[in-house]
Order: sequence, then structure tokens, then C-alpha cells
Amino acid sequence: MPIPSAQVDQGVSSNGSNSAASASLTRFRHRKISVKQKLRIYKACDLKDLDHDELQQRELLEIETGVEKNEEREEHLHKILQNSQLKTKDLYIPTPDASRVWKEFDRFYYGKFQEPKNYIQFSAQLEDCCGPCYNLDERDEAFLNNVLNFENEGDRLSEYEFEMLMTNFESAIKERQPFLTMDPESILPYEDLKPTMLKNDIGDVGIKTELAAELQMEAGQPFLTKFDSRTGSNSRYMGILIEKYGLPVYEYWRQRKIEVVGGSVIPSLRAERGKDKDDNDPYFCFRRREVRQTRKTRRVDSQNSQKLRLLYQQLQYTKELALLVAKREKMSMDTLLKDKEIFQLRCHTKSLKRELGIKGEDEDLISQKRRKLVSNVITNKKYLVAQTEATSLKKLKTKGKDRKLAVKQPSGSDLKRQQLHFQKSDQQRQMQQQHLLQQQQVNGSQSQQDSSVVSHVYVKLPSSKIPDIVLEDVEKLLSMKERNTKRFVEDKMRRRREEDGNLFFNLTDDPYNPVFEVHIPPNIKPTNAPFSSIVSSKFEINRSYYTPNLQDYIAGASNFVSAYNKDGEVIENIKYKRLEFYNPFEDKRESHTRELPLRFRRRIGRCGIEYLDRKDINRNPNDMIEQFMDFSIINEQEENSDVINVYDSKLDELSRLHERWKYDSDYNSYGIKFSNEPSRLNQISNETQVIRFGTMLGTKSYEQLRDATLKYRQNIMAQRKKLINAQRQLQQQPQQPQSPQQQQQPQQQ
Amino acid sequence: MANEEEKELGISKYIEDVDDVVIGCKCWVEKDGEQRLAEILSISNRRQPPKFYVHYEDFNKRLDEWILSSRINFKREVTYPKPKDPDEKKKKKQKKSTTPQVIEGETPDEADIMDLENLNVQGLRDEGISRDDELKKLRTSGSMTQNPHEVARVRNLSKIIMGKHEIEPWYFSPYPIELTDEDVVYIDDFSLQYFGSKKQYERYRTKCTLRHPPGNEIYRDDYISFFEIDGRKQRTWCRNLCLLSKLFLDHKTLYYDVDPFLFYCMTHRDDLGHHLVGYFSKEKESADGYNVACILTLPQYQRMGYGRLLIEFSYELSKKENKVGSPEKPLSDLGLLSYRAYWSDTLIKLLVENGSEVTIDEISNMTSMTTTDILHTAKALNILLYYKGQHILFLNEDVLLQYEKLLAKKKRSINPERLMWKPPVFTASQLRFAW
Repeated sequence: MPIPSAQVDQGVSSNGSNSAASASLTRFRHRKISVKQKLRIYKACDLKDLDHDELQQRELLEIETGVEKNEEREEHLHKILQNSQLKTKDLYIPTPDASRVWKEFDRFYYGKFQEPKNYIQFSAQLEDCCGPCYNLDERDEAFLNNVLNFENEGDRLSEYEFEMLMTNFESAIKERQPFLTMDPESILPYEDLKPTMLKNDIGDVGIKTELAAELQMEAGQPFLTKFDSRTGSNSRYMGILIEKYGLPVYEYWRQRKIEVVGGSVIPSLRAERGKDKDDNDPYFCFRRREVRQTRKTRRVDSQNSQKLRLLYQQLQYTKELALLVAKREKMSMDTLLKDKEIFQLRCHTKSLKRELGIKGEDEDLISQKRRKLVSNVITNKKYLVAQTEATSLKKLKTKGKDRKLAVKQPSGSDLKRQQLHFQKSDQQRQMQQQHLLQQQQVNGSQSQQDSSVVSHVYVKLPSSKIPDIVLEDVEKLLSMKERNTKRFVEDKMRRRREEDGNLFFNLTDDPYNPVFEVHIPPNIKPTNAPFSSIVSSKFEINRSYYTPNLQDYIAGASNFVSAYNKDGEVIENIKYKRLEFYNPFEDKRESHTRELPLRFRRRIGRCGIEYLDRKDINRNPNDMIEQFMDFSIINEQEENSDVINVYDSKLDELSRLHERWKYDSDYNSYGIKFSNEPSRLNQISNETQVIRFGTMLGTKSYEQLRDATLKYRQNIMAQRKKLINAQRQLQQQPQQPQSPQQQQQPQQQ
Repeated sequence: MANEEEKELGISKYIEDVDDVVIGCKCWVEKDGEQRLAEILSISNRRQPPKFYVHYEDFNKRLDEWILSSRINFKREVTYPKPKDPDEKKKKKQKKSTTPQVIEGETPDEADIMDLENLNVQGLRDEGISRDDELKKLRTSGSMTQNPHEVARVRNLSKIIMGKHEIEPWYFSPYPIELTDEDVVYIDDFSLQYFGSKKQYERYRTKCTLRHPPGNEIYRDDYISFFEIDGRKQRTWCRNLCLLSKLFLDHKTLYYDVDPFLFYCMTHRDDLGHHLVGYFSKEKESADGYNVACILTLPQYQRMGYGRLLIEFSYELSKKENKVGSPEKPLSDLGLLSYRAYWSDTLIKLLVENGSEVTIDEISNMTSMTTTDILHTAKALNILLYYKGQHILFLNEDVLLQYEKLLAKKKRSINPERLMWKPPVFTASQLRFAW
């Protein structure tokens, strides 16, 4: 023991050696320990720094172990509890044997369990998973084999069918004579019970036939549901069974029923036998809890019936859905069957043809694959991504028929050529498209020819002759291309900016630009305006600012924001502090803002009551939804917390609308993304736009624009100077009559 | 000790004839080479020679067994219970001095014929609590308490075969009384359905399609899975589970139905399906802040580390709920040891690895263990000390050694990332458990 005093075990400190230590315990008055109190943790290696004598076992109140007191006394546990917890490895509590293995296990458990990839979701009841409730026992087996099937050999009643019958009897008697236990001898004779049995649907045969009819299955076509066990799949219908075997099996069952005094033939739990509650019966278990009955009122009644109706309705819907799924599956199965049939017929035709020596077209032996419908939209899209070789592959696919590699090369280079053409005017491009289509068609026919000539495209090479080329990933190539483009544009922009210095602010050269506020002319509505460069040229840009350190601001590095207007003047009081930036290179095309979504104002009202007013800044979809949804109904529904049909629930409707409109809006908070809308018409992707724009920066027109702007500014400055000079002159010569120059001045302005 | 006091209350005498041994008397019995005082709980005369069901004093009930008279030592005194004195104070009566009054000579071979009048008084463990109180407590919460009935003191099944394993039951369980006549009760490994008849079992096996506990899988790793099952939605299965686990849990009560509980079932997967290894139940709403009601590793899987995984999982659930929790009391002896092991390992690991200062509250927040359980563990480990007017946590060499061992052992543990679970929410009406 490293620290004697720390090892004092108060629980067992009856031996004399500990008495000294326990005496020292009493010298200190311990404060109570609080769970909020910081406790320092010392390790054994810190021991040398600690004063041994000062270490005291904390005097804790005896904490209950949680085991019953008289069980704590039990020998095995007591021994373990007495020892320090870390030293009891060899002690254990003996338990009865459970190590033997049952030899017949393999006969009872077989089959393979398919582990689904996802976590299992399961809600079926246990009773649904095990066929008829009745299980045949040894006595039934003897009766079935030695009596029943002995008599009518050749037309045997299977064990499964026997169980179905027995289950039917049990449920029929429960329905007709629920209190049979009172007088088991009074059990009804067979003929009286027969109608009930026929009505019963044991083994779900009735449901199944109904289902089969609804699915338009052929009569007698066997099918399994998910819960059917494999064994009972070919049992006969209940009606037949009752007619054929009903009477003898019933008589046998009746005998058993009387033997068990009307209870269930299979041993059942006391609680299920419907006896009175008996607190003293240890075999009586799973009682229902007693709860004071709530008073029945009209309201509760109507609520409950409402709930029931709802439930019924929802079950109907569910059933409908399930049925539709089943129908679909049936249909696809039919298709498969038909396909198979066709295939077999073809095989037959083939052999017939061979036999009869018919030569010629083999068209009837080949399945004509339907051409996949390719909508216009999709082809357009294809053009948008056509800059890469990757699409050439896809294109070949849509062309169908021929996917052979031989075609890949020419069409790939075609596309490259086409890429170059992209840079030309729109008209040209459209023409190009048509041309391309033609080309493709030509290619198609060419390739067909090719394929007829070159029979083997894939040439097997010995492994030693396969050239050692590192295969490049298409994704990788694409991303590299994109990176290069981006770098090029950025580099251009940066150099441009350096050149411009502080004199000229190009509001468009910075991708991290503040947002333009677009003013749409009143006669044009964003919903119906055709997007063309002509229309968009009518849009007026109200304000556009340049903020050089916007990125720092957004990154949170600085709080300082300054904005310049188009004349390069610092705007002092920015009324709109709403600064956003938009990065065209980012995947998600998010716009970022540092503005808070809510604004608060503290207001002190009457009697010094403080209010916190809230103002919503962002427009949210609810504003629009509000026009035709009544929020008060939602509130009402929520507060009443009734069970509401999903289809009636306003909250649900709202959430769905909200969800739908989240992405489906013509507007965003600063208007239309005009940068991409017009381009859709011209079929230029955003990436292309950016590239075009970037290259524009290198052209002469930019220089001209800059020169023009600078000139314009100098002009204005000169005019202002002139004006100021004139005013000064005016002040210096107050007596002089007004000069015509001065009169003209305001007009000039 | 109370026992000695009671012994003196009884009448001791020497006997010679086996017939003089009656239910309720205590005699010395040879057990594993030593003499132990044992109480006769039941006598079976159905077959000769007669057999006696004995409970060894200071042994757990699970070691109770049927013995032949040859093991009873007639050379030592046999203590008979004192005949009941009707004038005696009620409190005395409640003391658990055993025994229904059995008229001598009558052979009580049918275990379920009992003197009903005395039953209320019998078997009551806690003198302070009356039976009514106990029932009242049950009504509001909980799943513990022993069945106070005398019949329930005698194990009623002799062997079960569950899946591949042959298991000896430990305690009484209220399976249908017809099954108690059978030598073996078969229990389906997946549905937990019980059968006295092998043929029935065989038939059932051909029909049953269930391959895992009938609920949603909420945890899966390469070793085990957990399924969450609502007692209300899977009544039959949960009843089957409770009946089965009652065979191995002394304090479990099946007085009320399974509706108020959720069952978290741990399974081991193989080609046949998910085999139940253990489970714990949890009240949907615990008034006492329990995060586990009953917890059991099936005996065939015991001493393999599954119990720790169950406990760990129960705390992972509590962590997700942002609650602290503790198992429902009373704990069984094995339960206490498992919990202590888990608690101490958790605490040691946390203290060694984390910083130099900590409050009990912080530990509780990190582990979801209650502060009481933490203090209990700290005390059992002897690490909460008093140093110069301050409480400190002192990790002595044993503790550090234990930590080394923990690291070296690499025990299996629950990976919280694989737990796909949201704490279930129930409405008030869903928590009203009555017809």
C-alpha cells in the first residue's frame, strides 16, 4: 500500500492497525463536498510534492450501492464488495450453466439472412410474420397421420392446412362463444359454426384473391406477399378445406377444447385468458394499468369519431398507394414475361428458318431497341457543356446505334473546332449549330460505314505491347482547365487594376463586386420581359459602387468599408450599407452579406416598460405566401393540436409551399440574376460569359472607355473650376452688372 | 443480524425421518463440499425418492436447487418456524420469517395450492413498505420489485433451449403454467416465442419469417446492432422478451404490461439473422431520472463484454438526450458489478486523460452519469481525498495501473457516430397506458 492513510477502508476498519488512522481522521473537520467545486487531480507521480500526512480519506456518507440490503450480505457479492474494486479480478459470482449447445439447432434454423445495406426499418407485428397462429403439436400430428390422412390416402391434408383449419376454429369460437370457459360442454356443433368459419379469412386467402382480382392477375396464379412463409404457399382455399376436412378435424378439436376447459388449446398467458384480475396469482402478468375514465362528452366523442374517420381515410390512401405499387410491379413483370416469350419465339423462328433454309433479312431476330426520346432542352444543354471532350462521348450515346471508339477521334476534334466558333457572334453560332448537326449526321453515317468496314475495333494486344501511358482522369483534366482559365482571368484583372491605379475604377473587373441595383422600367415586368440584350439595355443601373476592401470586410478582417461611385468619388454616407459580393467562380453561386437578418430597436413605452421591436430585413417567401394563405388558421390548428389530416393541415401546406418556393423565385433580394438570364437565350454558359468578359479586359475598347471616362472627368473638373473662378470674379466685382456669362452658367450646369 | 434473531424465534430439534422435513424448515445441507444452512422451499413427491427445493442462506436465489434427501445432514439440528401466534403484533408478522403454516404430514406437492391467507405476509423483503405501497409505486413507475408470492420463490422451468443454447433458468417466470410440466421449454431465437412441444416449435420455425427484433435498427457496427422497440407497438414480442428475461432477473416484475417501456435490443449478426444477445428497457418517461429499467445479457452471452456495451449504449442515448441517468434500483448483484466496472473505467479514463482540475458536475456532463454514481465510484476507487483543507482527486498507482490495463485491452466500444437515433417524443395521450 503506497499511502497507508489513503487506504483506510472505513467500511471494514475493525482491525486494530487502522484505528490510529481513523483516529487521525477525527482531527479534521471536513467541509461538505459540492458538485460545483473544482477538484484538483493529482497523480501518483505527484506524490513527492504532496505531504503524505495531510492526505486524508474523504469522509463520505455511506452511499447506497443500489443492491438490496439483504442481498448485499450474500456471500459472493459481499466478498467482492469488501475488497478494493481494482483487486477483485479473480473473484466472480457463480451462475447456473448456460454453456451447452443444442445439437438439433441446424435442423431448426436454416436459410440465409440478407443484411440490407441501410439500417433495418421494421414495423410489422410479430403475428404477421409467422403464418397461422396455431402450431401443430405431437398429438395433432398423430391424429393427422394416423386417423385423418390414414382414411383418405391420396388426398392428404397438409400440416399447414391443418393449422389453418385449427386457427379458423379458434377464431370462430372466440367470435361466437367468447365465454366458453364458463361452460365448455356447451360448445357449438360443427354445422352451427360453419358459416362463421367460412366467413373467416384465415391465411389471408380471401384478401389475396381479392388482391389478385384487383391486380388483374390470372386466376390461380400463385404469388407471395412479404410476410408469407415459404411453406404455406401452395395450400388450398379455406372453403375447400372446410368442405373436405372440416367435420372430422372439428370433432377432434372440439374434444381438445373441452379437455382444456374451453381455454385455448395452445398454452397461453394467464392475462390472455380473460380471467379476473388476481393480485395473488404470480402467473397473472401484464395487467393493464388502471386509469380513471375520462368523462365522455359530446366533444370528446366527436373528436374521436373524427380521428377514426381520418384514420380510415389515411389507411385508404395508403392502401391505394400500395396497390398502385403492386400494379406497377405486376406490369413490369408482365413486360419481362412478354420479353421472354418474344425471345423464345425468336429462338424458335431461328431454328425454323435454319431448318427450312430461308435466307435473307434477319431483322425479325433482332430486338429493335426503341430510340430514347431526346428532348430539345437536353440537346441544348449538351451544347453548353460541349467544350469538353467528355461530352463527345455522351453525344455519341445519344446518337445511339454506334458507340464504337473508331468514331471518337473525328467527332472530338470537330467539337474542338466548334469550341472556337463559340467566340463568334450568336448568329454565326446558331448556324454553326446547324452545321454541326449536319456534321454529326454525316459522322453517324460515316461511322456506320466505318463499322461495316472495320469489323474489329478492339484489337487485343499482348500485355507487353500496351503502351505505358498514364491515363488521365476526365474530371481532373476539366478541373485543370477551369483552374487555368480562372487564373488567366484573375491575372488579367489584377494587372488591369494595377494599371488603373486610383484614377479609374472599373466596376466590372472585380468579381467581388458590390451589387448593382437594377431599375427596371415600369412598362417591363420581370415576369414577362423577354431576356435579350436589347431589353436589358433598357434597365437602368441606379447605383453601383466600388469598394476596394470589400473582401476584408466580408472576411471580417476589417470593419472599414468605403465605397466609390462611378465617378470615383468616395461616398460619404452610404445609405445602403448592404454590401454583398458575388463570386462567379464559386460552385454554389452564393451571395454573401454581412448584414444581420433582423434588426432590433429598443423602445421605452409607458410606465417605463421596455419593448424590443423587431424588423425583418430579408424578404422571405412567407410574404408571398401570405397573399393566399391564412396564417391564423395555422395558428389555430396548432394551438388546438387536434389530430389533423395531413391533407388538411395548413402548417403542412405552408411548409411544402415554403420548401417549393425556396428555390423557385424569380427574384432574389437584389433583383434578377440578369447576368445569367440573357445568356440562356444566347446559349452561353456562365463560364463562357466570364471568359468573354475577361478577354474583353484585354481589348482596346477597354482602353478607349478608360480614356473617355478620364477625359469626361477632366472636362467636368475644368467646368467646375471655371465656375468657381467665375463666382470669385463675381464676388470681387460686386458693383459690376451681371455678365451674360453668369446668366448662362446655370444653364450649362 | 436479523437472521439469527429469527433463528432463535424458531424451534430447533433433531429429527431422523425424512418425512419430518417440511416446507419452511431450515436444515444443514451439503453444498460443494461444505455444510450450509438451507431453507426448504418446496418438496416434490411426484416421483420417488422425494426431492427438496432448497435456498441456501446467504447465497443468491439463482443457486437454489432441487436436492435429494441424502444431502440433508440429519446429524445437525433442524429449525422449524414458530407457529403463528395470532396475538402477535402485525409488524412481527411482516418480518420475513418465512413459511406458510403447513399441517404436518400433508404433502404439499402441488406448488400452486397455497394457504392464501398467509401469502400477503410472506416474501416481503422490505419491512417498511407494505404490499399496497409497493403496488402503488408500481402503478406510477418502475419495473422492479419481486413478486411477493410464495410460488414465485421456486424456479418453475428446469431448462430452456433458445436457439443454439441450452440454458438453466435462474428464477421464476410466469410463462403459461402448462409449460412448467415440460422438461424443456423451447424459445425461438428471433421471435422469443415459447413452446413446450418440440413439434410445435418445429412447425413454427418453418413458418416464421422474422430474422431480427421487430423494430428499427438504430445502431450498427461490425460486431453488434441495436434495435429500438416500442412496447406498445410490439406487445407480443416485448412480452416474450420480458418473460424470458424474468428467468434471469430476480427483481423484475411483470405485474403490469409492457406499454410504458422502450426496449433497446442488442443483437449479434450472422448468416441466419440478428440473434438477441441482451437488452435494456427504458421508461418512456421516467419520474426518477432512470435511463435504464431492466438490463440483461442473456446467460449464454455473459462474461464476454456485452454487458459493458449495453451500459455504454444506455449512456450514449442519455448523452443524445442531454440528460444524466442512472439505472433503476434495486440493482442485482451482477448488475452492480457491471455498472461499477463501467463507471470506474469511465471515470479513470476521464480523470487520467483530462486536465488537472474538474468538478463533479463537469464529469457528470461529460459522461451522463449522475453525480451520485460518480461519488459512489470515487469512493469505491478510494480517489476522493482530503488534502490541506481541500478535496482532491488522487489517482494512486492502482488506478494508473488500471488505466494502463484499459489501454492495453482495447475493449470493444460503442461508436457514437453510428448511432442513428433521435430521442422519441410522446404525447400525453401516448403516455397514458390504459385501455
